[in-house]
Amino acid sequence: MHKQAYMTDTWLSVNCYTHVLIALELLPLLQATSKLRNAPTHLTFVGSATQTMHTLAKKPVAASETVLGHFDDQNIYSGLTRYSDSKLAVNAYVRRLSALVSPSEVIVNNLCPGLVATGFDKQLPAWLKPLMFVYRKIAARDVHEGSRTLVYASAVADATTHGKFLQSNKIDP
Amino acid sequence: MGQPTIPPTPSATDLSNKTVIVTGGNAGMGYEAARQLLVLHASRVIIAVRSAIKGEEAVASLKLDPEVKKHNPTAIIEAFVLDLDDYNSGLSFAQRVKQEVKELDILLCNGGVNIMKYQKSVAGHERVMQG
Repeated sequence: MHKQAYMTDTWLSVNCYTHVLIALELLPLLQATSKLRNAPTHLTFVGSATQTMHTLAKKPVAASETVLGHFDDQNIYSGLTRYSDSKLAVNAYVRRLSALVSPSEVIVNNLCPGLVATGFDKQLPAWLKPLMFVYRKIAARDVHEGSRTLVYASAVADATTHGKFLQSNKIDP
Repeated sequence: MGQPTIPPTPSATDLSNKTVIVTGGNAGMGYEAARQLLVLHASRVIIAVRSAIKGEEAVASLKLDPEVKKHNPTAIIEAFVLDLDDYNSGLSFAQRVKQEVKELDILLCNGGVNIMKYQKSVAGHERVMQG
């Protein structure tokens, strides 16, 4: 499909990035499998509790711009908070999609794995790396424990988690 | 910050005859989640990875994992290429899944990046938002 096909405003209004594209493309397969199993399948996104540090309160999307246009704008870009914005978008998408899909077919949820010791900081600037290194050493879950939150949300969690954000395997109220 | 301990996954969790896709499955939490899902007897696990070479390395490593060998020696473990930076890669990936995967029980969207400098994705959007 030509890139221009996505540059319209309809489903951009949440966000239309690559995971969203894949999720929509594969949703029928998840639904068909659910019928086959007579049980719901799972569509799970890794989100983050850092979504609360998003920038939309301080820098709202103006009526004259699109959501993607807003986040592509280099003038309002902040490296420290962009990750939070991306994870807010994930949670927003999970909520929206959950309203369109029955949890008896596909359970759609997202979760925060907490602070986990992985190689995730490799692209951070040099000044931030030692801080994150110490922070993860002191406070982080190891990768085995952290990954159990992914397994929980995608293989254990029931329909009550549909459209929800989980922290430490519990629905964030 | 005190994070509560995550309890072990309930022992009754059994993914026999189930198919799972994990994006960003060659490293970090994605790799470990794929490994744990295999230990829970998932019959087919596909990791979606940017680099075919890293994907094959991760598949080889999952197949050699002692717990996977013990609990799920017959699992099908594969790597499909997916560059989350690029819509076209997303579409090719989805097409390949539709052709080669007849049942899908879990789609775990894990892959991601955190970068501090403004960069554009292949698709022309800011890169952190793209993935």
